[in-house]
Amino acid sequence: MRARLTEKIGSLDELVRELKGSSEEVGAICIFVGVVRGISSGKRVLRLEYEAHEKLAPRVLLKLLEEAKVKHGIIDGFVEHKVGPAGVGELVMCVAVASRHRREAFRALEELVDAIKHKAPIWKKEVTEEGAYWVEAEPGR
Amino acid sequence: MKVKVRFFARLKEEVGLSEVELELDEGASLADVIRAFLRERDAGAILVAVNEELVEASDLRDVRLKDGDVVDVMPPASGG
Repeated sequence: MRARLTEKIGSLDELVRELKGSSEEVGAICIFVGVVRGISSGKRVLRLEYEAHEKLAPRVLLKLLEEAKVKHGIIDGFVEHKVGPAGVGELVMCVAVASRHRREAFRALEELVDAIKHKAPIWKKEVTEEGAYWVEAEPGR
Repeated sequence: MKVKVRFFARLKEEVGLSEVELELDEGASLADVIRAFLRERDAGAILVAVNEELVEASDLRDVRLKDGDVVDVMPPASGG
């Protein structure tokens, strides 16, 4: 299990290699990647700016991974989250889980992504052509 | 006693400070500190940590601060 804040999301190929290598029992890997959209609620986005509690956020992310392991029986997991400015199209979050079969991987991944958005002390400001706004988390977004 | 309060993201902009040191009476609670800076509406939905340990919202009234504590006051999460 690994969680970290980063200025640049790492290679997905390397991540898959790492998760495959965590156990010979791994038969499924699910990955979610968040991307900065160019249009948000009809406004043209210039960039996002991420701020995090640098010490607390990685600990919360790791705790959420541990909870997913206990609840869904995943074998391994990984979360990487962007901090700092992010341009349109840039990858800003990568969440991955490895499990024996696809079902628990799908379930764990969806719950994990929701939990990260609502519990990890990480915040984003959306900078658009019409102004800059701190985003508040909403269910399903 | 002295307690340091740090603000993050939107709250840092709204309060106009990234951190401040407060001189408090012995036995002051976490809720007292938060009320000093935030409106009731905002105080219900924030994340709070003392010495980098998150505190449950239901425990805010019960947590008594000590000299040298660092209180982090954070908006609700909005990462991803």
